[in-house]
Amino acid sequence: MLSTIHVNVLYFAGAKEATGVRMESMELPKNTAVKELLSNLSMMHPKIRDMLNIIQISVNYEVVDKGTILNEGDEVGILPPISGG
Amino acid sequence: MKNMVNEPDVTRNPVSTVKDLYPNGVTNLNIQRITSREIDIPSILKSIDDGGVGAKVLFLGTVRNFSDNGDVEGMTYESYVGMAEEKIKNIETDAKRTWGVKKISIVHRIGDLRVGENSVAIAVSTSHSKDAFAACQFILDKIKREVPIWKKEKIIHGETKWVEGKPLKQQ
Repeated sequence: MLSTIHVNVLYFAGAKEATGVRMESMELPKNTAVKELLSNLSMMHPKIRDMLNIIQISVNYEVVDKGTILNEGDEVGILPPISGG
Repeated sequence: MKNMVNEPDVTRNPVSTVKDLYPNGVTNLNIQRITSREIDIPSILKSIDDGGVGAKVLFLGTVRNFSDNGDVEGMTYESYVGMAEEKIKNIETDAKRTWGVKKISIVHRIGDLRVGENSVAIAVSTSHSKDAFAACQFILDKIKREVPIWKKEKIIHGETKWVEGKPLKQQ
């Protein structure tokens, strides 16, 4: 049984500017929660730390709480406050 | 934790298109609700034709030449296209259920827009005018709270600035 999962993380708007990245694939320990992923992302991309209190996270197109556990193949969106319409 | 692949930025400008997000190709994505092309008003109006309707309302959101930050020369829109498509489809279903809308067309443009260009179109047809106006407002309010789209102002003689947004409504 594999003890790791793989997810894709997509960055948008100000978050993309802060990281310089649109998308990255990550290998994580099984049962990693969104908040742990965020903690790791802020270590990899320090400029995103200032945004952590305003960004929302989507998993497979649904906005989720930060305690949500990630699964193999999940697509995670790092979403600043929206301004469309 | 291991970072396996750090994808280089595949976009040449800050626009999130289907091709940018899925460089290896994508299936089953209807891209018409989010477009990088100029909004085609005649086609949108034709798409909401229905013999049983008594009313049609078309709303257009337009880039204006000023904001709180100064005179604006343009706007750049970015979207999480796959999620935006899904959320717009949900809004269409809600509008039909809530206001008895017969036909509906919602198109949001992404990319670089100049002042005066249309950024969003909402077109509905209903039996009665009151429902058509109400449905349009209902849809616009939902787009602003539920669809992952971001806009960045380009200020004349100034910098570009992301417009302060609102949190996505958790559903």
